[in-house]
Amino acid sequence: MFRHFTSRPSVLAFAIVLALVPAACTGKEGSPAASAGAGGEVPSGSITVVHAWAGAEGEAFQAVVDGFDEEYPDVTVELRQVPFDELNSQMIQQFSAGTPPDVVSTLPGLIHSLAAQDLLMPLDDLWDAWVDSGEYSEAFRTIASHEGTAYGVFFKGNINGLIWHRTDVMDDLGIEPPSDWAAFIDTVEQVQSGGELEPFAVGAADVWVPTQWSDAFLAKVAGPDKFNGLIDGSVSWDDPAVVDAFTQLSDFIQSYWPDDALDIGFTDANCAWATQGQAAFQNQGAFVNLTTPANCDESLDPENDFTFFEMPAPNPEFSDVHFVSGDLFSVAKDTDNPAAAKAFAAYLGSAEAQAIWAERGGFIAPNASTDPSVYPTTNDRKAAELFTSGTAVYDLDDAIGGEIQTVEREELVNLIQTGDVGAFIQAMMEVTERVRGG
Amino acid sequence: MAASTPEARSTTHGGGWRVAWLFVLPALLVFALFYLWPAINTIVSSLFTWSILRPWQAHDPATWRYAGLDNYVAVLTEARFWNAALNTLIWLVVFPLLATFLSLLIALLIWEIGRGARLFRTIFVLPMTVSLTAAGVLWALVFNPQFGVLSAALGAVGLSGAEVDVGPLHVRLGDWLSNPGSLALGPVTINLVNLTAILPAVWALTGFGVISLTAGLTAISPELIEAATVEGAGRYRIARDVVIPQLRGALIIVGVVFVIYALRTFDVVWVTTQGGPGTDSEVIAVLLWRKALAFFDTPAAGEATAIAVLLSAVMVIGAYPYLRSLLREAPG
Amino acid sequence: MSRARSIGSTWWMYGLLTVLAALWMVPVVTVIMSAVRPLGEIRDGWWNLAGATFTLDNFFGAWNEADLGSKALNSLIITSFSVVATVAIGALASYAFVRLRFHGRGLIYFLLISTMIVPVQIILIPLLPWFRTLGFAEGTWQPFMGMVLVHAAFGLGWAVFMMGSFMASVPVELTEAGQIDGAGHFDVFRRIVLPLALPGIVSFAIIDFVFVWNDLLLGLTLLDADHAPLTVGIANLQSAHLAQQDVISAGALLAILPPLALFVALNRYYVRGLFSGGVK
Repeated sequence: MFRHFTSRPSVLAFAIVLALVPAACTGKEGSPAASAGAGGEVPSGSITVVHAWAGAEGEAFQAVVDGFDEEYPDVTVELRQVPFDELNSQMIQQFSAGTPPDVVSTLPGLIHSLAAQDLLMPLDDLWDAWVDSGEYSEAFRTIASHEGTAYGVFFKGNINGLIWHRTDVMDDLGIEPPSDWAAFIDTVEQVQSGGELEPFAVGAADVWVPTQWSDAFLAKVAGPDKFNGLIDGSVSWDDPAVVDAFTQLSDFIQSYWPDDALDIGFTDANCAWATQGQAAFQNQGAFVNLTTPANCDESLDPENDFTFFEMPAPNPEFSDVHFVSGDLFSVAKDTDNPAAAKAFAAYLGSAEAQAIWAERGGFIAPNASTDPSVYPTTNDRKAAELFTSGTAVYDLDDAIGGEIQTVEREELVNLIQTGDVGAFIQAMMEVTERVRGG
Repeated sequence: MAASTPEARSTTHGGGWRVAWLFVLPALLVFALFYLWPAINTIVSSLFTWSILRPWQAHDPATWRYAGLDNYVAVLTEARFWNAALNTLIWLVVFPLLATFLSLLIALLIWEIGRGARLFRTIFVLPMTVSLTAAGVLWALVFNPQFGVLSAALGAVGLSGAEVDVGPLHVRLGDWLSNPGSLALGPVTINLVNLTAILPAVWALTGFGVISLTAGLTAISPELIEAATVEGAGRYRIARDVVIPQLRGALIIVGVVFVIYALRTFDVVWVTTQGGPGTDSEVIAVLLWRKALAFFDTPAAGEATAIAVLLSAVMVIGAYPYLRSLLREAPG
Repeated sequence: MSRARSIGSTWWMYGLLTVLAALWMVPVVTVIMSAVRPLGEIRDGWWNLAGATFTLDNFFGAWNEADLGSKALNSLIITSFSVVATVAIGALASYAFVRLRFHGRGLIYFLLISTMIVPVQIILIPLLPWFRTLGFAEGTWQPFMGMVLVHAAFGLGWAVFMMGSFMASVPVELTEAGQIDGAGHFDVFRRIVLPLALPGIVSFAIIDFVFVWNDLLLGLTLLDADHAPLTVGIANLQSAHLAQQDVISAGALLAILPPLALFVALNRYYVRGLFSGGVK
């Protein structure tokens, strides 16, 4: 009825499949076993490091790790990349299995969850030295801490709420970077009425992208006190200022977002304004300076071909409030190689390590002693200056983590689709009650 | 072509139960350790509050936070669960109907035509070997709004981004995996993105139906059809009155297998939409996975096990007649 | 078996089948074209053939940079050992169910057969801590071992059902004759039943191969990155939402090929196995 084969080749094929197996196994056993080095000795052996950077960012991180290899030639670092959206669940799975990586990229929310179960190594001694030497402020230490103990090092800083655009598009339209909210809206409407470009490219297929917008609105409509109050639970989601921020956000989305926002990812959104002539702007973080040329066109020249202005504050009272984020690293308490893992964490917090990526662009060094001249473009320098100026609030959902983070991301999608602010606030009230009540 | 029904003839010559147990023991050990115990563990631990970072352990009373039926109450009173249940229900209705209908249509057509039957059958059956993960990846390429063939075809006929409203039905052409529209039926809204996620599964699994129904068709005696032809029945009437009734058994089995698949579906949804946008296409299996591994700040693993128990109970009760028929046909 | 019953017009049937077949081929053609062309060209539409370049770079990218090569190896290890283990213990058990009487036979059989219906979720979550307790969570070969045993446990129901029905069709007279000659049950099993039931065993092995190779949920939940199968690798590439449809396509093709090759090489058995499992 189908193709008939004589049985001989079929049995042979099956035998080959089976014969491959022992060979495959011996091939697998070559990996070096991790050897535990006690503190004080020169670190050696191997460590596994999990991070979430792909593409050009992955290459930049590899360069940082190469710097560590030079400093500690006896330590082998095995890098593992996981999708950003999957980082939390994959880390939970591996910590549950008792097989965590030695060093893992974390966000404050994940640090809280893991530290609460006593799964992370305290890193207070590193921070004591850094704060003493002025390399970091206490504010950074607080973000990396759970109940007063630091469990993470700050590696990569970032500032969000930046409106990226091509320089020539702005020239063609004859518009200047807007100085306040009204001018911003005028600019956006000018693009929209031109009809050739969507005002914004939004890659909301990646669930973290809408929070780039919601946090910017929260920070610049409701202000830092309400923002931080949502994180620590002292402000309720139905606070009028919070509701106002989400109402303004929702109106903005309904008016100015493209229809395909939920269909395309972050990378495609980069190219939609940078190379494909589909949109004028993208509201994103400073890392876009690196990812856009890498994803879309290597010949794009940051600062000459494209640049950014910071999104003005809808509420002028908060025009000096910046919405920042960052990537931290933590060490598993059960690491087989504590000496090397801790040495790696200390290295990532150093100005030396951070300069390696900073030189490649799209990176803000949180370590204050990093030489500003390492930033390769005006865009990077501008972003780094903003990062340390004014009042900073730290990425809301990254700071909260867990179920609230997941639900906020999902409910933002519903908000994008329906514009129903009441339902959004209601859902956030419910999940906060679930997680933090009782 | 079907294997003959096993006979329940057993002999005990030269052995006795000791020998029998030697034959069964390896299977029993593996089954007990890696199926039975985890299954019992799921049921028992659904009565406790625990998180996957600090799991419920039978041997460690320090991990026992008895919750009674709280996990079940929490699950059954949560809107998110009923959203997932609704999406699973859409799968349960649409997937078996669509896949069975297509299987029957294709099997009948292939059976009717003479030349080329083998080629056509191969085309429809080959996707069976494709994992649903890969099928999801393939269809995500087809559904890609920017360079997928579907959007390009729409663009060619000038329907790109068109929106259609027919009564309660709202369709957006183009955003297949993010926001293809919805069907408002009174208090419930059916998100059409579930249909987009179902298509790859239909594509991959229809081949199973085609093979099974083809086997059933070959078993129909030619005399029956000849008799009907002599009576002057047309092709359509023969199909309806003679062929399909003869296929009843095969159709039931195909339908049941599709229903079982629909109830536990995970792979395709995970790869195409991850349950999104929002929770629009989140099915029970995805919600369970999230509760166990993503909502780690709340000790929701107990709720995840409660969902597993509920899901299994629905499956066993619903498929009980099928299970019984399996047991009847089996040796023993 | 297929026959052109009447001379009447069958053109519309060919037409309908051709349309359906063309629809069925769309994803296949899409993935093949996307796998052999550079990303830039895919983004302009893979059907756009003007100035097309064809390349195998995507396969190298998938195999090396995206690390699907080691994942494919993991899949091969997990799948091969799972099939061997399931066939071995399943065949022994099937013989007992078909030819021997013993206490608890009905209950054990019922439990095994239930696994064909009860969803895998019923065992999924406790397996994670259970692996840790048993020492299967960590090590070079231990996670593979644990995974193989889980697949074996999960596949036993199908194994006993399918191989049992083939063994039952071995004439009782033959096995009784063997026993009269003084052979023990194991000899009868090995010399008489096993060779005669071989087609059924091969059918089951193929189906089990396809099933295990295509598993996503167990691999995603239980295995770390060093041991994860190809399906997990591909799902992770997909969920990263990066512009890498070229590499993803090549990876998907890599994942499709082994079961497809097995199907083409052994499809006679495969189809027979499905018939015995599905249609009586």
